[in-house]
Amino acid sequence: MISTCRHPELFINLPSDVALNNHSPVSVYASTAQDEIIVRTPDSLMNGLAMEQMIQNCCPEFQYKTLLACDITTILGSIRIANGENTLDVYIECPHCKNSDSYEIPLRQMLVNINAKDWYTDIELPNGLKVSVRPPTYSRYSLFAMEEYKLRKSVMQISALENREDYSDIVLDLDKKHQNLVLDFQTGCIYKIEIDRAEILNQEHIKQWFSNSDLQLQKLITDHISKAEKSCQLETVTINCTDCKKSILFPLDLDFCNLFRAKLVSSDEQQIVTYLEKLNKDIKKLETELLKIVWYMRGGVSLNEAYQLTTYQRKEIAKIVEDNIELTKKTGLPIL
Amino acid sequence: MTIRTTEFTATMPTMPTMPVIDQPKTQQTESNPLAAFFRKSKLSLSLPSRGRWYSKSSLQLNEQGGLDIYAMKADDDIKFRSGDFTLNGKNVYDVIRSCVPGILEPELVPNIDIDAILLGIRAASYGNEFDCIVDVPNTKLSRTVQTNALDLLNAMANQTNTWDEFLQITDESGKSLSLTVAPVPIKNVFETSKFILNQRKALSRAIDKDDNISDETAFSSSIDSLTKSAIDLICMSIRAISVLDANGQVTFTLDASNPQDSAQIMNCVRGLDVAYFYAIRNHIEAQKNKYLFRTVQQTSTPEEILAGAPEVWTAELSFLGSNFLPDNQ
Repeated sequence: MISTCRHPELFINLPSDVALNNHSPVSVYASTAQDEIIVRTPDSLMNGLAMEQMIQNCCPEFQYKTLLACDITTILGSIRIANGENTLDVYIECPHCKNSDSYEIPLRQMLVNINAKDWYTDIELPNGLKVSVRPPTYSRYSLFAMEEYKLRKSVMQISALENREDYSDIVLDLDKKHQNLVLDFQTGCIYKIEIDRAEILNQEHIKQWFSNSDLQLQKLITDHISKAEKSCQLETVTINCTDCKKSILFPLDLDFCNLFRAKLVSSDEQQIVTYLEKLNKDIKKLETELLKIVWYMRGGVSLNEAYQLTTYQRKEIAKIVEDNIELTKKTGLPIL
Repeated sequence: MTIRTTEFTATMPTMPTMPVIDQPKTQQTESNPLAAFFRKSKLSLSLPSRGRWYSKSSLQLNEQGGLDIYAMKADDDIKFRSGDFTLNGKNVYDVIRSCVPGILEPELVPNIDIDAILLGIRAASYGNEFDCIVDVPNTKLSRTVQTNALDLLNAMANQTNTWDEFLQITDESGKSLSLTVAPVPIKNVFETSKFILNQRKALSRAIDKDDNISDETAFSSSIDSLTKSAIDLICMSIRAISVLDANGQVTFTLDASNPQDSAQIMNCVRGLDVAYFYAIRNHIEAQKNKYLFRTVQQTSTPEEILAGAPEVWTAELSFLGSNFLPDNQ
């Protein structure tokens, strides 16, 4: 279908390739109705399958399993641009005056600032060691994010209890598990350590060394990793409230799986049910729209093909159908 | 004065659990080429208690007779900064296990040592010099005081006025009450603090919005528990009590190491004349005060004097909390 009905909308250089001076652009296609359904399916959002399917469909040249986490924002931003969305529409409630409004954020300009150079820059420690870090794969990051979600959700559930003090031991245990999870994730980003001319690549040795290093050394490395992570994400935007004119800081994240998990962490049971119902409603609405297209196209588009239509194509077909309806109304012919 | 009875009121002692010791695993480290770059001891600490009140198996001193102090790791730092660092003590024990591996049972550290240990950890992790915010006495003002951890620790190590374990109180008839008192383990301090916090919460639940007592039974029960906890903490310091007659002959002795006697000591102190109780409490407070860290002598500014501060003063420094850790590190 991609080769026949869709064409690459843009060609991009991934931040990891640019950092390594490997300029081989990859093609990005617009997302289809099938992608829109999958990014509204709760289970696939939770386990990261939504991301895998969308990337495979919109960037068929990528091997999802080797895709690096530092490239994900650029890819997702590019898919949005391929869909014709040059700006991000965000709905924000002002923390100062509580006024809610929607704001347009220029996406294309923000993507330009993303770079992965820090991931490929060595860290020289005061004790003479040279530490090389590498970005984690997105699938590894996804596993980490899922585990982190479980721990954060447990802490949130305890904090909502009336007698939460009774669970302080459990909270401490969860906190410890979280620290270990972060430690494991960050240690996994250390690719090698150089002592004089010897290179240590054994992950067990690296992990053991890291967990036995003192705070200042650990901080040098974790700060470097955090900086590298940040430079591959969209910057926090400053928006002036339309009502009180005060500035609002708004962090941006294009990773819909992350956003879904974050929403579930901060919501109570009723809010989660409402949110999931909304997602289901959106899917049904989209499916109805696809069925209408199939019916109006009189067999010109099969249901399978309809699922492969991009947002732009669906809009155009809807316009053609509307024009035809108008025309038949004017001519007085019946619509069959 | 209470009379010793033969009632068996004490509960059976529980077996102490073995602490998990976070020490480098030598078998693994030997083969690790990075072993030479593992965390090393940054300083050697002389305990204010000089190692008294520790069991032999709970302390491993270095060749100089001090305790090796290691810098914190990132997760220790997070624990140090967490809001409930001192709530049940678990995080404090974890940080001590990580940074002072010579203390094998941090739960049993005498309370007079805890500030020195935490100060040592702080110095090993962030350096010797730091700022402390202290209250100016008799005023609502505060000021920042530059502090040198090594100076404070050295002064404590060289202190000659140490804990006096013995207290004898003689009444008008010539009878004496002889007590042996020791600093309580930090485990008991944390347990009492947590208990007091819970009782205060229970108290606030028993009072309605207009400050009227809504639940009298709950209110009086909480007040009763709070009073008992203050007495119990004093009792925990008492290792032995002896009653001596006018001739100095011991009539009877209670030893806290015996579980039956431990309960008897508690009953004995609860039944004591208030003057005796205050004498014991004041003695314990006086001993604890010997181990307080204090700022160097401060001279008040004209504004501080105007607000009621004395011309010169020193302030108490406490390190059980995250307030002395540097920001944004």
